[in-house]
Amino acid sequence: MSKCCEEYEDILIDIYYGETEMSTEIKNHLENCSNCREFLNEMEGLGDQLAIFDTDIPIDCSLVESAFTSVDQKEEKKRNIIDLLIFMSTAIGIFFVIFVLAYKGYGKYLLYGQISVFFLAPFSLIAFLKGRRLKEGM
Amino acid sequence: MLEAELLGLAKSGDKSALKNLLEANYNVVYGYLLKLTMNEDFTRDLTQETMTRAIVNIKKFKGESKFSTWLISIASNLFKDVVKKKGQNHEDIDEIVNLDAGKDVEKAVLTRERLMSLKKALASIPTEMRQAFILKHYYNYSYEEIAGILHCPIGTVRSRIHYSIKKLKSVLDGGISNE
Repeated sequence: MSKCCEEYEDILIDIYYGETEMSTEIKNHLENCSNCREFLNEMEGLGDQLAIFDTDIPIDCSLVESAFTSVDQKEEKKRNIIDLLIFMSTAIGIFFVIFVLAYKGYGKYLLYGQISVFFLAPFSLIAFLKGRRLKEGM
Repeated sequence: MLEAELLGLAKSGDKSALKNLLEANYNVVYGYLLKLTMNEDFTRDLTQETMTRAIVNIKKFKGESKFSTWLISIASNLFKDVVKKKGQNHEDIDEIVNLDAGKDVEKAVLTRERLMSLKKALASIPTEMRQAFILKHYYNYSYEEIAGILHCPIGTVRSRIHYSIKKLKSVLDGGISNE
């Protein structure tokens, strides 16, 4: 096969896939070249053979559903990590403030503060419940 | 509802619209990956991961291409990453097509043989070349679109497709491939 035909084969593939148009030059070449005519026929035959893989695929809705579940799980995991980080940084911050105050000699006031929190904390429950009722629209 | 309307809803957080879009394009993604991997289990895993990535990144979709093209692009990148990571193609020659030859045993055997030889021929094409070929042959994407999906120049897409066809013809003719 001449090199010329190899070049035409590439053009014929482009024509077969609609990437370029059949020019007069190609038409003339095809009329005179049995190799290229055969190549084009083989291309069409190959297309017919490969059509066997072009089957109808039933939609598996569970797979799409699993994708959504997987995303929800990943987002929940991310939220939990963020919550944990916020909790840890708040705890470290409070501990640091207490440590600094105790170091500076305000231990007595810290103790008073702690006793006040101990007795007043239950009252915050009322505000918490009220907020929850509002959130639930009751 | 039109794809553009569903996309608008999906991007604003409507799960049901996104679900409809994914289900409408399920066979495109699954079919593409099945032809690429030739393994049903691997295809299922990749399809689910493609859908997951689409759900996570739906807000980043600019609408410059069709939604199916965007999904194919995600699937192609995912496939490339997995193959790079695992270093193999999972090309098990198992069932892709459900053969329904009825009572004609001879016809069934012939079809199965033809199917096996086609699968082997497809599997003989290197992954990157096969991706370009499948996108052109089965989905009729233009060279330009394939270049966008596979992130490579148009000339490379063209040469990959030409190589794939010549290789397919060579393997199916029983000749020695010219790698």
